[in-house]
Amino acid sequence: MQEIVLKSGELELTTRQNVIMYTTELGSSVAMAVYDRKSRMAGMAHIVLPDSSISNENDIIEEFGKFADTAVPAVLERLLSLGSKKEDLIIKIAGGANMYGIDENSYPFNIGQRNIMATQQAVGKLNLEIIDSDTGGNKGRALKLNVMQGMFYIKTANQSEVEF
Amino acid sequence: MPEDINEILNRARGLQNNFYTAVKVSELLDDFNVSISKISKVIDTDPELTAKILRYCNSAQYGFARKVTNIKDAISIMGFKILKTIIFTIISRSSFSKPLQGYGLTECDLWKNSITCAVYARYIANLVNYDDPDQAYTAALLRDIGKIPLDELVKDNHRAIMELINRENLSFCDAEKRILKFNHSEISALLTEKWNFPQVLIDAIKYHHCPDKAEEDECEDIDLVRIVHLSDFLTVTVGQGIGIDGMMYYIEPDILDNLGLRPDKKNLDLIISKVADLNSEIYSLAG
Ligand SMILES: [Fe+2]
Repeated sequence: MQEIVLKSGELELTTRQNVIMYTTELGSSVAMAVYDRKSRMAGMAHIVLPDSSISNENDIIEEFGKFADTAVPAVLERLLSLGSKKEDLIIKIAGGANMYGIDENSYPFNIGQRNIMATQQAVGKLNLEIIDSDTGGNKGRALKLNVMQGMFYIKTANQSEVEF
Repeated sequence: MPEDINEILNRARGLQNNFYTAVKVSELLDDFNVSISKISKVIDTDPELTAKILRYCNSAQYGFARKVTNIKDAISIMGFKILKTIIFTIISRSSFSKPLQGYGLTECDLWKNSITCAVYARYIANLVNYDDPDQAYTAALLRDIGKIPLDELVKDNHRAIMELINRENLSFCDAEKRILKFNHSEISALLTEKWNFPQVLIDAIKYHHCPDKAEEDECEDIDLVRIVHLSDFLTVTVGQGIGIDGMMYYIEPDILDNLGLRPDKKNLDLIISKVADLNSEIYSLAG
């Protein structure tokens, strides 16, 4: 079994089945994982920030995995171009925690909240749907996708991983 | 049940021993009149530390043209300040590797988290033109050292702490204090106080979750406190080694303004983007 670890700002796609993909810990970052139940292709992105407009033109080619508005289409459109059908894609997201006392209106520190919304928007823009989310709150977590099984897992500190 | 403060600090006796040489050297380095040979004599008494310092100097990261084979050369090439941060980094790495069950930190988590915060703090210090970025690095590196002696107690009182957080909507730090009588930042500060650290560094450690209190208590170097506070936030936002306390900490709403940084969302996102770029350097440092 090959393990692919996605650090902040990284994205991966695989057409092989004997792969486990997982992110390093997500604080306010958001992980999006996608699995094609027919072709069994899979992808993942470890998104750090909502919006690529802060990146300058020279950097964006290296940085598109970092932002929701560029990372999400990079993964999903690629799967579609490889032959995935929209109705076969299972998309789940996790992460987007916020600091204590920070709510959706607490600009600019509601970075977790802003990442979740931008990820949802980017997925929606492609007329796709997020099936499950484990997002928000104050806790750190990591998302894992076992491509062989087509199963998603969440790992939280001090707890064994749970299917989701 | 909560113990006497001395009992808690006694649990850190192993830590005190580990940091003995680092503290000795750092005391010497703070004395402007000290000679290189005096410092190298102290370091030479610890062969393991000597070997590690030389390995650092000869690593790709520093990449000096010629091979450094003794401490004297190492000091003259790197200078006192860098040497100090390297020694504390080396000792922290070996001292912060054990899992801390109470805090939900697995093997090396505390180390990864601390080195991340340290590198971020140096970045922020440079960004705001703070005059001693290495001081910020050291404060951030050691800010959570108190979690080590406090871990057993947090573990034993885990339920009570979490219940209090849920019931009264407290930050982790405040809940720690209510249940255990001390929070980890206070223990970190007490430990470093024993090491005769400069007061500004102790303050930055003590108030790293509450710069507003540092202001009330009229701390001398509030900028340093805020640099560590912001770096701590960035560490849980995009860093690694996050435990059960996760992001259950307060962030000062005016922190950017107070550090002279533009307080809008675009600027914060830029800062987050920049520190996230430091993660690959940190991964290589963290090993
Ligand atoms: Fe802390």
